Amino acid sequence: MHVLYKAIVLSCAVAAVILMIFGCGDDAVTNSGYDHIATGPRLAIPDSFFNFGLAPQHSKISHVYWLYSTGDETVKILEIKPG
Amino acid sequence: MDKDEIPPGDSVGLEITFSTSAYEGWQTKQPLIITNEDTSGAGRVVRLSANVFSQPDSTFPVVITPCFLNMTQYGDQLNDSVNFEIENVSDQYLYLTPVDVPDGLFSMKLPRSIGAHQTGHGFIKLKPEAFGEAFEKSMTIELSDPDHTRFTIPIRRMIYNSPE
Repeated sequence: MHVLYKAIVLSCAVAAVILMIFGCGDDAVTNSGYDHIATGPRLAIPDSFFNFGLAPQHSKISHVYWLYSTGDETVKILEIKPG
Repeated sequence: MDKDEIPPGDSVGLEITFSTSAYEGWQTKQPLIITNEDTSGAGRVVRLSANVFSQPDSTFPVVITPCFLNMTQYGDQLNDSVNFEIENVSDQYLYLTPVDVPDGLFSMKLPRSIGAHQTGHGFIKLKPEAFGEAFEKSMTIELSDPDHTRFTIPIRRMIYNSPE
């Protein structure tokens, strides 16, 4: 019984290592960038949220969001709808 | 945004401006970016939030005066700098970190830290290449208090020429 338990634990550990190595999904990113080039136009916005914090009334405040083209075709910005 | 097409491997900055108007309290906006990425029209969302105030509140850890920086120029008299004060009205030593400052328009001096109940001084100075530019931008700073309170200071520059 004890041997069986050790075998199960070992199997789980091996499976976890395999998942860590190969388990990245289609849109997986690394700290340094994107793992692979997706097919078609693909847009990535790594920092899609910005918190201005406290801001006075009757003023205009702005922030620049960086858009990255991560596919193998040109991304066309067709329209931007205000939120 | 300088261009509306992004070639593979390239990037572009998309500037979103939020007009705080007469809002009060926390506001969240979600502009939608429609691209040729998919045909569903779902698009991609970017989000912003701001806690809009009408008057500085006693709960704020600092009071920034003025809370709106105006570099408007009338005629030929160059208005290329503006000073501001940051009063730490809290009981704790605070560090200040700029988290979002527009590129290329001005340089900024900000105190690194301000002691409890002390006042620090900052200023922004327009870069020579921006003397001829009118803009409405903002800069965001973050404090080291437990809530990591952020302040966004609007910066406006209009240029009005002298009548001929």
